[in-house]
Amino acid sequence: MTDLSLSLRPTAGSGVGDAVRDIARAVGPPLVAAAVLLAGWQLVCEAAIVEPRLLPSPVKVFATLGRSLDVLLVQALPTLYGALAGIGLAALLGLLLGGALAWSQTVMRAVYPTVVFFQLIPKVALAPLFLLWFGTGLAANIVFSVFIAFFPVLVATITGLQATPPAFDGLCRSLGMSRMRQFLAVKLPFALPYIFSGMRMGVTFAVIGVVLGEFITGQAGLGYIILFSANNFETALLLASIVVLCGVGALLFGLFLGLEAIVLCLYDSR
Amino acid sequence: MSAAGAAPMRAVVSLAERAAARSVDHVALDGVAKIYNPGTRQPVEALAPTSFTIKAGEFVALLGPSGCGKSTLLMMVAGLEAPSAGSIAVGGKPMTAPRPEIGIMFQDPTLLPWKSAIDNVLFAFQAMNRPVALHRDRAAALLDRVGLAGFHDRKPRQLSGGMRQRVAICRALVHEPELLLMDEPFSALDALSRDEMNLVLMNMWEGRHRTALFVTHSIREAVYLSDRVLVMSRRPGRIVEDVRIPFTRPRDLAVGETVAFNEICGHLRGKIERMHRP
Repeated sequence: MTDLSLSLRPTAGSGVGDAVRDIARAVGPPLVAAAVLLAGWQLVCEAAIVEPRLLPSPVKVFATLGRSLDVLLVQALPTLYGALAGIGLAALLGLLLGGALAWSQTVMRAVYPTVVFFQLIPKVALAPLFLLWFGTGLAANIVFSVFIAFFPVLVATITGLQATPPAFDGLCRSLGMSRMRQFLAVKLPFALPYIFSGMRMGVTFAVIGVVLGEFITGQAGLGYIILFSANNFETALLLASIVVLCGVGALLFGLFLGLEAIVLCLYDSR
Repeated sequence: MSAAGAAPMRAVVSLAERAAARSVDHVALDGVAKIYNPGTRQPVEALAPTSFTIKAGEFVALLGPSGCGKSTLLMMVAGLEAPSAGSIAVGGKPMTAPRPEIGIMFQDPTLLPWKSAIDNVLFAFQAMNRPVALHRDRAAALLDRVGLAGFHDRKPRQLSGGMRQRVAICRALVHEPELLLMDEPFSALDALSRDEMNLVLMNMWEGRHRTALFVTHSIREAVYLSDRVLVMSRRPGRIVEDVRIPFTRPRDLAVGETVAFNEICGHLRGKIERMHRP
C-alpha cells in the first residue's frame, strides 16, 4: 500500500527544496527534544540542585570526552570487537539451530524445551562459571555476548521459518521442488524480515553481554573504564564512556540495518 | 484400507460413466476414498469411495457445499495427498507423486511477495529447475493475454485480488500442462471480478482445450465453465449427480441469461437442497 501511494505521488514539482524540507521534518523534532533535555540537565547542574560530583553537567561530560577521547577510543576497540564477534557468532548459531529446528518436527520437539529452559536462566548468574571456563580475556566477553544475543536470533528464525503461508507448500510440491530448494527459495525469504528483526535485538544484547563480561573480567574495554571511573568517583569520565558506548552500539546497529537493507533489496529486485 | 471396508460402497457408477470409460480417459478415479486420522478414536471420513473419469480435453466442475471433500479429491488427483483407498490414474499412469504435466490454481493466489508478476509466472520454471530466461517471452505473452499488459513488473501487493489470480492462472499454464486443476480459485473475489475471471479463464481455455477439473461451490460458475458438472453430497462426500452442459463454445456471459442455463442451474440447486434437507 505504501509503495503504491509513493509511486503515485506526483514527482514533477518536487525538487531539492522538498528533499531538504523532508529531511528537516524527520530530523528536526528529535534534535530539538534532545537539545531541550541537555539544556534542562545543564540548568539543574548550574542551579547546584545536585552534588556536582554525583551528576556532572553535560558541558563537563563533553569536555572530559574531548580530553580523554584517545583513551576511550582505544578502550572502545575491544568492546566493539567483542560485540561484533558476539552478534556475528550468535547470528550464525541462531540461524543454523533455528534452521535445524524448523526443518525437522522431531528435532524441534526434542530440543526446543531445552532451548526455552536455557533462555529462562538469568544469564548473569552463569558469568562466574564462564570466568572459570574461559579465563579473563576477550574470549570470555565474547562468550557472554554470544550467549545473550543468541536467543533472540534463534526465536526469530524459528518464527520466521514458520511464517510461510501453508498454501505455498502445496504449490512447491506440485511443481516438484525438493524440500531443500523450497526451504532456500521460499521459506528463507519469507523468514528474512523476522530474522533481521531478531538480529537487531541481538545487536543490543551483544553489547550488553560484552559490557557485562568487562565488568566481571575487569581487564579492558569500556565496561572496565566505567567500573574504574565509578570506583574513583570520576562520574564525568563514566558518563563520557557511556557516550562512547552508545556510539559503539549505534555503529553496530547501523551495520546490521545496512546489511538488512542490502539483503532485502536483493530479494526484492530478483 | 480397513476403513474402506467398514464404509458401505456408495460410489455411483452411471451408464454415462461406463460409456466415457471406453473413450480416451485422461483422469480416472476408481473407488477413491479419504479418511483422516484413520485408526484413531475420531477418524473423519472426508470422501466416500468415488469413481469417475474425465476425457481428454473435457472441462469438469466438482460442485458441492463447503467441507464436502471436493478439495481433498482435487489434492489427491494432484498427487499432493494420498488416497486412503482406491486408485487414481492420470494419462494412464497411477498417480503417486505430483507431476510437472499438471498445473494447479489454489484458492489463494500464492504469489511470492518479493517477486514481480512476471517472475512469479516464471517461478514455475525456477521450481522445476528449468532455465527461466528461455520462457520470459511466453510468460509476458500470457500476462498480456489475461489483461495484465503494463503490470509485468508490479509486485503482488500492488495488484488487486483479481489481478493476482490472473497472475496465478498464467503461472499454472506457462509450462503448458496437459491437466489443469483449480481449487475454488475465484471464491475470494467479489461477484463482478468473479464474472470477469470466468471470462479470462474461458478465453485462456478456448486457446487450447486442456483437460480441466474445477472445484467450486458456485452453481452458475460451474454451469458457465464446464462440459460436465459433478454434484457432491455433504461429508462424507460422494458424487450424486453427473450433468452434461450442452452449450456450444466459445461461450460468453450472455449464455447465463438463457432459459436453458437457468433450468440447469435450478435442477442442480434442487438436487443440492434435497440433499441437505434432514
